[in-house]
Amino acid sequence: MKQKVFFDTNVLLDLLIPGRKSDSVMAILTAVKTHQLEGQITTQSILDAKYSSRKQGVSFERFKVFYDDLRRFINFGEIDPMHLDWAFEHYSGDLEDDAQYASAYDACCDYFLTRDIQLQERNSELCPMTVITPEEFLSQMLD
Amino acid sequence: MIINMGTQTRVQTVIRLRPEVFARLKFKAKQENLSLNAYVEKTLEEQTKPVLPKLPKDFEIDPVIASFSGMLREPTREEIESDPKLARIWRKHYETESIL
Repeated sequence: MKQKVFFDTNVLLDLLIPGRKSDSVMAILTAVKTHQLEGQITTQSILDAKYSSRKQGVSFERFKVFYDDLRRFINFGEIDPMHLDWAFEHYSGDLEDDAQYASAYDACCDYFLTRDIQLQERNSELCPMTVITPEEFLSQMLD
Repeated sequence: MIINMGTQTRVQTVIRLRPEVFARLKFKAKQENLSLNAYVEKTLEEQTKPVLPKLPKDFEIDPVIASFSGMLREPTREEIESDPKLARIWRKHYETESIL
């Protein structure tokens, strides 16, 4: 059974935006691509990244190459009204993050990769999903 | 034999065991000072827990994924100057907001 890892929007943007820490994200995505892990993102993250890319002058065609590559090896989930209900009920200061968290939990992910500290405070023995930064996660794979 | 498959789900599974298997399980449970059910639940939990893979020493980042690194770069002055649409986007970008 493979570990299932969720990539939050900010982690995806780490890869795409220059100057951000992207080595760990690249390594973890490679592990997903080579079938060592199972990966999960939401369609919302792609739309957000596309919105950012347009502002940065990335062409539609270039972004589509990125999307097409992800499409081959990662699972796409969605944020549905039930996830939004949960996000409103458990609002932690960022509704989008909370909705992503609900979607990841619903998809039975083992790890939720993010840089948001308020989400990392959600870790508890009651929830089987671990909220963790890409660097911490990668260090566990290198131990 | 009834096994509780987790306290949250309250799912129970009934299984039939051959007498020799049952005796062996009882023996193992006694060795670990656990009840039979507790021993079986512990063993099942250990066996179904996914294991995080270790990356090999020669692990290399996928070149296609690496090519996306920094994709949301700012266009060069030459690119902006040669593309009116890009120039419009960037003027607006500077006037309104920065990236997420």
